Amino acid sequence: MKKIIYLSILIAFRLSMHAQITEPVERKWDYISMKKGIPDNVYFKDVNNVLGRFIGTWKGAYDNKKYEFRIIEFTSDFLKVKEDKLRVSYIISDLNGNVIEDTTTSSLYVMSGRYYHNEGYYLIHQAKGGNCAQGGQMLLYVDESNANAIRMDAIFRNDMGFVDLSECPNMINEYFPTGVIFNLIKQ
Amino acid sequence: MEKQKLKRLTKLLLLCFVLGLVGCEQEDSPPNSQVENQNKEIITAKKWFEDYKTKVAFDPMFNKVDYHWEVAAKVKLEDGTEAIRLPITDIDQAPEYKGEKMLYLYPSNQGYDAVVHELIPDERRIKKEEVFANLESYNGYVITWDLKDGFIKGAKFIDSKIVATIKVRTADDNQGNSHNSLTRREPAAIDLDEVVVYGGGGQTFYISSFGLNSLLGGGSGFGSGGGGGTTGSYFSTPHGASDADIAEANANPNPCDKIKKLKDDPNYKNAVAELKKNFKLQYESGYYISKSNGYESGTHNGSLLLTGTTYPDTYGIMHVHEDDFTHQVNNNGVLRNEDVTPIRMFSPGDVNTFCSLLITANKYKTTSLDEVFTEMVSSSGRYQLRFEGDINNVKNFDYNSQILKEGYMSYMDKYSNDLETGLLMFIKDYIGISGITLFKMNDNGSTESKTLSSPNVLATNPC
Repeated sequence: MKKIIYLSILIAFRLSMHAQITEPVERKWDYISMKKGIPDNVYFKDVNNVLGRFIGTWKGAYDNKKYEFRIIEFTSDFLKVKEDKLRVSYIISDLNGNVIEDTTTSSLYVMSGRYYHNEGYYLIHQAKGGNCAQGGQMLLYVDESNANAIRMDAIFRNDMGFVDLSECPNMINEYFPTGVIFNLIKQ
Repeated sequence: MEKQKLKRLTKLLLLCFVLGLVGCEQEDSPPNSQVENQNKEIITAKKWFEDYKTKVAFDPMFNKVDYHWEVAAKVKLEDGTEAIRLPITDIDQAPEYKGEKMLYLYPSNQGYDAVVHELIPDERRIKKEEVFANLESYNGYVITWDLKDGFIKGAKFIDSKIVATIKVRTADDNQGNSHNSLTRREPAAIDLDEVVVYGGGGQTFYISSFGLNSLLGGGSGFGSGGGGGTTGSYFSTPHGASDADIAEANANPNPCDKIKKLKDDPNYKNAVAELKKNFKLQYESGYYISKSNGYESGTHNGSLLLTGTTYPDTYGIMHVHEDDFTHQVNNNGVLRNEDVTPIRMFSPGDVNTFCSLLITANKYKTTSLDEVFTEMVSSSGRYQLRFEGDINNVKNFDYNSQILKEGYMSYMDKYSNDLETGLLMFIKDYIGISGITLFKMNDNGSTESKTLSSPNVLATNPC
């Protein structure tokens, strides 16, 4: 009987070790910015539905380019961390409608979410085209003050880094303006 | 015609004599046995070179060349090493050509290392005849060429001191003509201070100067003979160390020794001190470090990226990963905060650049592989990457792939409390190049190596 009790305690202990810890997605920023590291078996779950307002199709134009963002929510599971994230595929065309880039159909080059912080959602962007292509951080805000035209403010920032001019004399596929806000309207 | 030939030969002999005076020490009136030995060595070198010519495709610049073995000589260089030296001329050399070329054969594991030094005097400062009569006050350019790979390095001299390093690039001919060397075609307008046009083998070369005052007086600049910065040391082997030294260092890498040596370098200390001032900048800053050009600042190109150029002898890169900052963006009066949180650890791009340096060093044999480094300077610490593995496993990779980028961010977020482990695991799992070692450069002067011991546990050892 004692053996059964010990075994039960051991199993319960092992199970508790692997028990999932659920945290709201907003908390991921705290883990990163406070340099705490993310323990195994954490699930950053969208319990407060902060990501819901980003989901959908958004359209806008800036500087001779038209942008269409298609945003979905998904759950990633990597390095023993689960996370509800946003994924942004996009179509970029010129003002005449000629498509410059379309990642909505089976492209690896879609933006993937990193964290939610202060009402903004931060994603990782990388244009296709190898080491000389544009890449950086995309930040999205949603303004719902006008119910007839829910607006997204998008801000892109290039990665910092060294570029060898002999390898990359110019950045290629520079799809997004930097240091400015370009607006998209929810469809 | 005969007169011209005689004149040319006289010039060659004069050049040979003068180069012997500067930078090279030849014994006076050697005994007969020494002369015999010297002749044997020249004959050996000639045999090797004739064989080499049949096996190797030369740069087009050296396809139509006369080698004047009749005046070849063994010379002792300022760094104590010896080389076989002989003048070379283009077969159809134009009389207007202002330069002279000298082939140096530096003993190496493969027999010899064949390098051509070309002198182009600045005629506005001094007449050519005077220049070659007195290289101790040489004014003009010295360009070093590899017979196979072309340009290695170049410098502008005033009074035999380096005042600027130069690089040579090819350019298209406006008329679409295929150029021969300037030595074999109509003279071009030459402005030595701005651009010199000359060339060879279907190419036009432009030489542009870089003002690099840091090279004045030598130090880590040109030549490996210890003197540096003068015409004398310039003719030392351009690869800095002998092939044998490099091969030995590569077989027994000792990055800790190389780090200690680097930390004693005043140029390095200055660079670290300068970069530590830049943590609050909102863009990248750093240096490219090469044997020929010393410490060159990268250029901030306005898009946060830092541009620069690597050379065959570039062996280091240092740069800053800045502190977090918040950028406010105005949208019709509404301010949006944009938080920027640079990861204060090497990025995949940094690792790829490090691989490029290793590949280049291995290709040109300009330095031992354990001397090659990249350094990241941040308010959270300074780190270096060094290499102690098999160079055959080192390759460039697409560091900007979305998958690699997302993977890197996931590791850095997961290990935000221990970026050293995060980086090493990322390199192991995603990049898969073994032999890359992480070193932490502590402010108290100590250095620690960081490696992953199985299973994925960080091991720290003092250097």
